[in-house]
Amino acid sequence: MELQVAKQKQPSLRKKPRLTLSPEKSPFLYLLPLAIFMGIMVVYPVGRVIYLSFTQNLLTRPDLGIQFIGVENYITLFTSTEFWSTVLRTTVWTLLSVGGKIFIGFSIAWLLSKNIGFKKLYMLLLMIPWVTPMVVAAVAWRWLYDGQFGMINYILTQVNIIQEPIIWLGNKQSAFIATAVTDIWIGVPFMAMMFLAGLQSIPVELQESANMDGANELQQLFLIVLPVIKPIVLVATTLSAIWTFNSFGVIWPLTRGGPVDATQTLIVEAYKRSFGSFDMGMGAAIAVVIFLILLFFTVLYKRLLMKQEEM
Amino acid sequence: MKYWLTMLMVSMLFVLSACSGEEKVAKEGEETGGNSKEQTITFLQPGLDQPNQKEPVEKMIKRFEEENPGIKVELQSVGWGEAYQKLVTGFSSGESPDVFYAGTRWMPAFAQMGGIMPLDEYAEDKMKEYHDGLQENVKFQDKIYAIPRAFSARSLIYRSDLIEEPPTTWDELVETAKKVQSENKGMYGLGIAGAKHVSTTDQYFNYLFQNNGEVFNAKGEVVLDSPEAIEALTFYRDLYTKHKVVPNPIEYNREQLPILFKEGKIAMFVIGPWAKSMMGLEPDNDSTPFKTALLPKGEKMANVLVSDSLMVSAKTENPEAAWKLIEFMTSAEEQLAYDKEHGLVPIQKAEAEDPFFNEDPYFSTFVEMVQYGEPQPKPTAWEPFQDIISEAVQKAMNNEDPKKALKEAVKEIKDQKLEPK
Amino acid sequence: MSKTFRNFPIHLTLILIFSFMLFPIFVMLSTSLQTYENIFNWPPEWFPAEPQWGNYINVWFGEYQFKTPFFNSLIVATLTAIITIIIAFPASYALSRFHFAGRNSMLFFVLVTQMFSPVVLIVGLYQLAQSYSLLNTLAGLVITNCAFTLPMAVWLLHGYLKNIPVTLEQAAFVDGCSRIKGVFKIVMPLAAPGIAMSAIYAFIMAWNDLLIPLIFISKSSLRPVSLALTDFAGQNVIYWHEMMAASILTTLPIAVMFSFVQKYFIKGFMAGSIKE
Repeated sequence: MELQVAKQKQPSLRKKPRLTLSPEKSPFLYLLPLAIFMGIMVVYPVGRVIYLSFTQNLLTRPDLGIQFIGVENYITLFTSTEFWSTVLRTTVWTLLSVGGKIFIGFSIAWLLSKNIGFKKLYMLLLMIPWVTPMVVAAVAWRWLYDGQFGMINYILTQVNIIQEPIIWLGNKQSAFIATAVTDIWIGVPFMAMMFLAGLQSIPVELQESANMDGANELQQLFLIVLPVIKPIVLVATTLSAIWTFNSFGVIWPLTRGGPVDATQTLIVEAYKRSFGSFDMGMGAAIAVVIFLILLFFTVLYKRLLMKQEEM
Repeated sequence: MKYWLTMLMVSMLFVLSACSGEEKVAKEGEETGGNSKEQTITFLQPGLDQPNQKEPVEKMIKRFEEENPGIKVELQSVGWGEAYQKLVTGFSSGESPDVFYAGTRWMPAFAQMGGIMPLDEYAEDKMKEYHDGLQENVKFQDKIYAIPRAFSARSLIYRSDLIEEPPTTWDELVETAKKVQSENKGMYGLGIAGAKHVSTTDQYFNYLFQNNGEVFNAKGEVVLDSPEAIEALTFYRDLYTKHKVVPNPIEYNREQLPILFKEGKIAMFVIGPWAKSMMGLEPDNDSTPFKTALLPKGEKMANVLVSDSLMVSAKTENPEAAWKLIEFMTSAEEQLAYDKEHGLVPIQKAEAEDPFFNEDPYFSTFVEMVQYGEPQPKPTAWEPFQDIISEAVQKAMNNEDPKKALKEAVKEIKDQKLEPK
Repeated sequence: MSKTFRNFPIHLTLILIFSFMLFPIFVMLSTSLQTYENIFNWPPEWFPAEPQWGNYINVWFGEYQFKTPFFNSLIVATLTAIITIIIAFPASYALSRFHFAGRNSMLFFVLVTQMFSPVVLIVGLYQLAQSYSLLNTLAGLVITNCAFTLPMAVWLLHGYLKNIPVTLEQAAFVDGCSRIKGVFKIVMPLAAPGIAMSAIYAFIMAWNDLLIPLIFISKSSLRPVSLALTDFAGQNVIYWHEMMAASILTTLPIAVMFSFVQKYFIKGFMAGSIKE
């Protein structure tokens, strides 16, 4: 004991830490619970999924057993046109949704960054879609989209934008857009908040000098504002793209991937394979593909983040 | 690794024991019950989390518990939408309910994966009480795996204040629908199903069978790309795309049509006898009076007979108690009460003699339709099959060529080895 | 007043956007207070003449027994938040204070897992839960949720702790305080907003998650709110008025929690950018 107390009186961070488990000097004990937990709950399942992706394992056919079939699942996957159209669909859906989030989010942030009243109230209201659980949002929107009794049709027919009610979730194109709109609705607050933070970090002097030079709003936006907040935009966009790509809670309660396969993204497809037709091997193969795509985006995100920190 | 895994799990469990306390009590109850005194069995019936659905079942269970003092029944429910997935994952994890109510169509897959137990030893005599078609339907590889519980035929329900003579053929169906639609603004002539739902398959199969088509031939090969099948799908599709006499079917499963009907959005639809209780209306009400009629026929008269059954988990620890529950539920009085309450077609031979089913003009049509009944197809696994069929229907509704859609469906059925060969 | 007037076009635009953002909430509220008959009225009755507060009581105590999933979710989300913090706080402390080999790769690992879609892990987690009999238990949900909340919490807390000057603790160490004691006495109070934010984030994630219960829970008595709602919406006939009441009830706890930490969230986002 005494020895330890004596040691503590010296500067706590030594230059060359020896291998020790003491909580005074070593991060080991602090990190141990996390490492064990993540090892079991993340590393093991990922390994398991990779292993499963090389097997044929139909839960509904225990008589066939689990057979190691090498890369056959991947070959089937990559040679099917359906898979590639799912990849394309996922990409377009993600782009559409992220694009919408950026556009609306930026508009809100831009307007809120002005010197206006009721700012606090607006910010509070902005939080509401964010705190709405995804499932709730999906259920509420399903009711809004209802073909015969839904409010959206009511309003659109009232203002004469459409003549006949549209069955939003019943047509391939409209369902595709409708699910994206719901996803946008959930994601806008985050975007707006991030952008607002960025906009408020722009030095007032910079804008004032631009004002004096007689630059109009648009010129200011493109020449001054955007370059300054570019890092935040990039980070927010990448994060949002990953979340959107992962979105299950919106599509599943709204359409379950239908009609036909109009809203079937990779995530929905992986879920359906594993727990709809109980084809664990194929489900795992798709999960691995998703894993690789996400890994790519994460590396991208990391790069952007590091760049931003340098700035 | 395994050691650490276990250690962590154990400590987690310890931390969390507070919240799983309830669970423990239930389990202990089961264990101490053993074979001698108190037994607890679980019974799952999908779709009870809705107004007016749970109460009758709860009452029935109470009656059972009074009659069998040693057995407690724990009632569970899950939405129909998730029922199949829950049951299958339950089998593989050993968490399935002892007795459950499910579509007879799921039985082959359940039996094949060893999820449910054969009931021959109990049910041999019991089965004689049922119609012949049903006796066949609950067998898999010559063993009885399910006891029929609910059964229905289909009829056409129409607005008797708007339609004088119900249509009797396909052509008349279109004609009548067009006529009502033109006479009543904001109303469609007919409502059909196209959602990813079991009802989409049997709404289409009605037309398929009426057109002399088949899903699987006698050898168990899929023949859904026959000219008859294509013609039937084309007709079904044309109701929406060409004649425009139905609201977009893709949003609706059949069970949603009663609401559209009640709200005056459609003038006719095809459904089973429970429509009345779903609408909560008597046929001769003032706002939307309705009557039942035989289905408009194609080449011949036909309709799909669908049944639901009771099954017993292969892993149940109390098969005797499980059987007692089934026996009680399907006893003559209980079954009659159930059928009347839910507006179902009599499932047991003796029941059919009850005047209730033959004299009531609403019900008698459904009873009459039973003779034109054809059994539901029996693919090796229903759920993927249902997805394939409803996808073909949806493709057709989205203006794809019905022939192409069915060809793709046939290929998919073969690829997934769903043929009952 | 004049400022408001001058900014009239801005307010107008904002009001337009916000009516889009708040419209679904309004419809939820409106529908939840109608009778089943009334929800099909055309034109719709936006403000029901006789608000049916009874719908909420029905949902809570009636056939849906919504109180059961509600309390299940409450238990699961609370425990998830607590365990998350217990594991994440020491780890993020270590990551922000110690320099050791592998620190960067550990941070990267945390970042990667935070991006994971549950779908990637779910098959493996399902089999894991199965072999430890954690299916159909709330404990199973808690542990599995932690796998997804932990990385996010570590990331958030690490960022927060980094901004707390080390000198404060070092001063304490010099006074003879052990590191553990110093962490409890000095770092924890300073990091309280960050801890609250991460805990609430974990709570919200656990409360919202649908995929895990969808696969893990088949007993209706153990359903959390997300699954219960999906179940009700998957019925053949959807009773929208009661569904919406249940939806509002599901949203309330999250909204309340959020309002407590809202200012920290905004602060977190705008750290160093607001000129006060």
